[in-house]
Amino acid sequence: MMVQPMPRHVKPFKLKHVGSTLVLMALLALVLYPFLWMVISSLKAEPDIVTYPPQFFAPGYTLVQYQRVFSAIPLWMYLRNTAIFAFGTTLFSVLFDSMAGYAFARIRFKGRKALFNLVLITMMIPFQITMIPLFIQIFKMGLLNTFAGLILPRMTSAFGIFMMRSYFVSLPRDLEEAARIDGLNEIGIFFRIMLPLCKAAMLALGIFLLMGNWNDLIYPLMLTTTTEMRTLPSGLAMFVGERVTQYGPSIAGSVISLLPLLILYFFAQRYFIAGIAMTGMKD
Amino acid sequence: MKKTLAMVLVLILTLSITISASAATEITFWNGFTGSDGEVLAQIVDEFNATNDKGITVTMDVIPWANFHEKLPTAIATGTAPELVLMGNDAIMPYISTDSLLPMDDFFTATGVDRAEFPESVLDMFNVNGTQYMMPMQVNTLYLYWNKTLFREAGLDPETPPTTWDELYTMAKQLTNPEKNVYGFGLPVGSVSVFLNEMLSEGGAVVDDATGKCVLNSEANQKVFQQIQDAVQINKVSPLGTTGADFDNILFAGQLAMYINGPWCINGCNTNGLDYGIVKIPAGSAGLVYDMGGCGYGVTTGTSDEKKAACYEFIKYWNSTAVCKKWSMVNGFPPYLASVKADPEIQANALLTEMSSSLEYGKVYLKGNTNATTINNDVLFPMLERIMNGADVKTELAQAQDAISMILGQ
Amino acid sequence: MRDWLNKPAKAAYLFIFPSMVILLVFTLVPVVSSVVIGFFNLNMFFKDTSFVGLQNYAKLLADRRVWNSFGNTLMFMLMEVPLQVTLGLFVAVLVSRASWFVRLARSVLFIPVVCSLTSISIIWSLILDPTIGIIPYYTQLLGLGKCTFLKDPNLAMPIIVFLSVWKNFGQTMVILLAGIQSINPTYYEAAMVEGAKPAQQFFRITLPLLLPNVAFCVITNLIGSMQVFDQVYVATRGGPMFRTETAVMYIYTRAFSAPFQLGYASAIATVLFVIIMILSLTLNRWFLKREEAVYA
Repeated sequence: MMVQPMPRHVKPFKLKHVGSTLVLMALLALVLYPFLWMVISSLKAEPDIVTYPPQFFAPGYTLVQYQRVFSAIPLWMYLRNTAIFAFGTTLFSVLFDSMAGYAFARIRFKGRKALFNLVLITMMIPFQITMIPLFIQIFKMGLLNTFAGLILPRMTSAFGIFMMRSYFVSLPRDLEEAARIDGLNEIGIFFRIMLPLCKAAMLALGIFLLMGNWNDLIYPLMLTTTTEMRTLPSGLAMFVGERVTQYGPSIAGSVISLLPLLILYFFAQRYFIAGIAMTGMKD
Repeated sequence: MKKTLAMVLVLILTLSITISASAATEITFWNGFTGSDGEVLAQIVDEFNATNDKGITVTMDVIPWANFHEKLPTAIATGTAPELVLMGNDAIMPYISTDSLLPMDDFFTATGVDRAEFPESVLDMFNVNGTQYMMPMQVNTLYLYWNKTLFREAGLDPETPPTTWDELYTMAKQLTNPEKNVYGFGLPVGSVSVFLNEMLSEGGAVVDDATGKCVLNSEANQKVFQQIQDAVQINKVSPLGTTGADFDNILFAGQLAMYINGPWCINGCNTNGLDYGIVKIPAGSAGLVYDMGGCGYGVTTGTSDEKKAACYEFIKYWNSTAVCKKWSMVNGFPPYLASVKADPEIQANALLTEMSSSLEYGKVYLKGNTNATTINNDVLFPMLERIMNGADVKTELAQAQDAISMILGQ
Repeated sequence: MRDWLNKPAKAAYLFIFPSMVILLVFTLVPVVSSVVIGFFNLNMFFKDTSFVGLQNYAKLLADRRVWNSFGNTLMFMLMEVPLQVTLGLFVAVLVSRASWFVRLARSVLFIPVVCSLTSISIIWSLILDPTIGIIPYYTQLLGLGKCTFLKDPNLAMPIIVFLSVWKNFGQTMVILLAGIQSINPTYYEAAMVEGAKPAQQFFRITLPLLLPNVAFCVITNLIGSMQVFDQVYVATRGGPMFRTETAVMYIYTRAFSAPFQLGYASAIATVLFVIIMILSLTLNRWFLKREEAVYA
């Protein structure tokens, strides 16, 4: 199910390679330009950022914008909170989604269709619609501004269930029959036979969820009430939010907020891409 | 049944935690001072924490104003609000009408602060129906910033800024240079401050003080808005659809010749090495009338007496001569305390002195009106934007007047 | 107890239990609450709450900003989805070759997908800033006149669409690339023997076989674009002149700015939810039929 590199000898398209290379290069420039601009600007002094006519390069460079970000907000604390929130939700969600996806895919039980339709329906609900009642609920449960309150509602994702179900459907039919004959119970079958088979899918889903949670803005913003609990994107959004007098720190802040995931992407690129590719799978 | 029981248990648990936590005098303090003035505010809070002898710790949380007013109501509704809040006098009504702020009528007796230090007009900004809901933190005034370099380039005298609105618009036209991307004057969207001052100075108003009726569609206002429209549409002195924050940066980039904003732009002008001046805003046919505004400290409902006393302690500290003076000197806000006004260093600063005397003749816009924010957001901002984009002024004013009258329940 | 472990039909409930409980408590209950709140006059402070029946719904029918925001959402959808899917498909075909450059391009084009919309909106609104932004400066130098982009009522929405496509086309690209790569190479070999041109190969083999994947991208993008919020919230807050105020943005504004009308906002949210449901069910059905037709 991973994206396989295309066998060498197959050349389905004889698009003019020169032409396609040029088009690709233009696209690359369009994608990279803003990042380049951002990194360079974050190293400029304030008057060099806010200048007319705008200049791509500056006469001199400085780290002062980063110093200002670090002195203005507790970045390390934000980073820690984000990691706990994003990894916590992802771990639980991958496990629970796999369990549910497995049951929906491979076991016939009463109410399966109805329940699965319910899962599909929840996929279509914009978060902004549920957020007010959710906030009140989390508060009533006494979980506001706690990691439990942040993680609990995200311990499963309808999309994850949908995706894992698609994966389990694609596995050969008789796997569990053989195991049942060997005397394994259902829990054993899932953890011993099924899970090892879907490591790649779980990893892909994990990365997909991690990306979403790491970058999420409104959700952690709403469910936390103190600085100590804020996550990196929400903390930076607060900091960047009203660019009243300074562009510099907000650009530096944006760079910092992008870095962790970009570094992760750099090392685990294949899983990121596989994760997205798998989201497009049809059963 | 079980669920109810669990709910009750959770509630008791939460309550007991809350009670045990209130033994320490730590107070949380929310404000929206994201700019460089916020850094000074943080310094003052730190100084208070280090020097107060009652063991009070103030924990400050800076949240941009837009998010601030999104988060505070939810926090109040769920009882998770900070004890101390700072907000503009124009934003308090939704909180007061829902009893979210504690009355502070006992402030002077409880703290021994001398009431005579405060001008009545300043206290009155935060007084609704005879109840004091907030104590002053600063008085906002607007200044006219002008870029001397651009004045010189346009052949105008760099030391003579406009003193009337008519003059301002004439100069703005001369200063505008599309080839160099230079604008004569900044007219922001999403804010009423600039045109409100112009309206008041030309004898117009949004709501008549005496009758409480909306009088937006008056001849004086038609003239003002026609002038604004012509400036934008015909003379192109101001870029369209630009917010106050955007204008700050255009000003800093040296592309804006004149701009009206609070003192918080001074810092940015200095950082960017502008050759600029600041002066009081222009007058109109009705003289110079200020739209007065300010920020005040409020204590949220549900705060224990002990914590309320701690908040009072901090507010008292703020309203001491030394702290208020520092705030005025560093950030350019006009002093309001009598003792600060009398300070020789402040007296030596002509602009600050003049600004602080303006407190006497300032007018507070839509004071005590629960719907002030709604009127701004839903009627005036969109109207202003449409007028600047070329809509018919008379029609727009008439429509807006109807809409405001409806909101006011007339 | 042993039944639960040994009988698949019973064990299934154990497997779905955690997920179902969480979805029920944290998604379905809030949705139902939201629908219920829509019948009340309720503000953020929970003071002076009263039952108003269908009043909120009557009000929203007469509210021009509701119509405007739904219209804007539709506009966004009509621009974003075709652009996103066409560009994604185009690029997927471009990067389906195997060479070091193509592989590098794939990795780079995917980068925006990893980034948060917040940061991306901030970067682009600075680059497009009419005064200090570098792109408006170039457009002026090129003689295209003064372009104010996000400040221009007519350009703001197209720019928001551009931002969204820029951020997400990598995702569509990867999904469709996976589809292309799973097409049996013998089809192409046969086509080449018959002397089919690349364009013919694309329209006769790639596109029909890729239809399920394309359908998936269209459906998810359509549903996603009904919910567009983040980029608007950061880049324009709905302006200028409400031209970028989308449905979710308006719901958010109604609920979270004075006078904090939770009830009214929930009523609009309910309408949006119903529209999304109808749209996605219809689309699903339509595409399923098309697919069957292709395979038949």
